[in-house]
Amino acid sequence: MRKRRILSLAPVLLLLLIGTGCLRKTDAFGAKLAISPWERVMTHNAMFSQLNNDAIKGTIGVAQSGIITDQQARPILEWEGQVSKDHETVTAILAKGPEVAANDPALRGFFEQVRTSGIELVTSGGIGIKNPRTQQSLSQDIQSIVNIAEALLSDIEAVKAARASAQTGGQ
Amino acid sequence: MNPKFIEELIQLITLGGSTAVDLYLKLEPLVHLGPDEKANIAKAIVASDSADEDSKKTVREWMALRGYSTNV
Repeated sequence: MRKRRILSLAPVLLLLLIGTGCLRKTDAFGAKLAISPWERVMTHNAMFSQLNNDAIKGTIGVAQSGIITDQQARPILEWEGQVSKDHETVTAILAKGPEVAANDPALRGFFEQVRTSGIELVTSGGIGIKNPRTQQSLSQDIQSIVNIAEALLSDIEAVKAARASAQTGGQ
Repeated sequence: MNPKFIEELIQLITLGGSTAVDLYLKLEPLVHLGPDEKANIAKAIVASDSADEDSKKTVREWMALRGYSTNV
């Protein structure tokens, strides 16, 4: 149950950490420095992995405590595990840098897939969890992963816009 | 220590107890960036790959223990 509490707070954490001003970049003397759009993408990408990892451990914790059955946990864990597997490819693309990665359709495809499949998993009712509080708690876990996927889509668009603007300005 | 950091910790303790702080402490180092952009990006890649690797391993182990097959 302790794990459930934190995971239901994930949206709160995201609001604290993703929101403006939560990323902080400083020099050796503590003076604030500007964060590049690509640093923002990469940092949010790492947070995506960590949040999914915590959601997995939370789902297992709930199954172990008997709040949901293993059969109910299985599709959630399969989804979360598949997200982590596919996300490794995304990180490999992002590691190539903004010149290559920002225009790679696979990035948008992955985060849109996470968004649509995550929402579908939550709304389909196929998991078969009757307890509304447990259902809400698990939905919030998935929703928090969807939220950060949306933030990443927005970050990538910002990088593309900045690059397009720089190219236009240079002509 | 950064006063904003302490303020956020107190807010999390109030909202969710010590477990909320656990997740916050995992995420918090990621949001504190140093002056070197390349180092920040390298750190983010390592953190991301490490978390994804652990996620896959955790799911595979859980599925195997229960006799389930998985595509992960």
